[in-house]
Amino acid sequence: MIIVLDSNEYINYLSKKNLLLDEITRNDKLTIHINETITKEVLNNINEQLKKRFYDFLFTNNIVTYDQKLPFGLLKKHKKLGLKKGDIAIASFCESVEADYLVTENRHFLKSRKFEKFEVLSLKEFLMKLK
Amino acid sequence: MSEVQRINITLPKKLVKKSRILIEEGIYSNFSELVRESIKNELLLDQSLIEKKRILDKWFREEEGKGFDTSHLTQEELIKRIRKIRNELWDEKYKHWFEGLAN
Repeated sequence: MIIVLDSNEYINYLSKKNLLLDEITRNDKLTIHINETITKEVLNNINEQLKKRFYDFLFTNNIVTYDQKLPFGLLKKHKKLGLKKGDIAIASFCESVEADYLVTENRHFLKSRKFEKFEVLSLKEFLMKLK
Repeated sequence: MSEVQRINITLPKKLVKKSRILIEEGIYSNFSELVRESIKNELLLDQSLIEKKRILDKWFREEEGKGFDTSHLTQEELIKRIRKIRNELWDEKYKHWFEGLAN
């Protein structure tokens, strides 16, 4: 199963506000995908000390780094759905890597929408679903 | 056929004993094949790790000095900040390219 974790999940984990991410990284049936946008959002919202932990976390866990430009067709599709700027990019990224779930605490934006190819859940909801 | 080179290797007895099980079970036809396939797999794994390191190094280098301690922020405040950065990154990476093609 492929999942994309939104930047807020990494930040909450690194700053020890929520350690539930451990349950995801321990599960070898899950593959996490991350792209440049999500990585840079995290880097802009943690201190220097946590950057080292973030690097080690990405490097040692089963996390796939995606460093390609997003397909134009997917960007266009999500723009047509009414998404704006960065939201287009994150939804297109999820579809591009064929993610099953986007895990995020951002309720106001993605939670209010239904996407055809992937489901949006909070971390707690996702862990409940796994059980 | 590609050129081959014969080499001698020294292994712990226990490892050799365990390796023989794989040959006896028919997973590998002989010891040479077992070593050859193991090395190939190791090289593939290393290659993907090297690539991952290259990508991470690039992203981290580009954001050097931009870190901000958000530990005092509420979840809502943090998400608001992330959304702002997400839009800025969009403008930086996709705005001209995407909007140029879309129009």
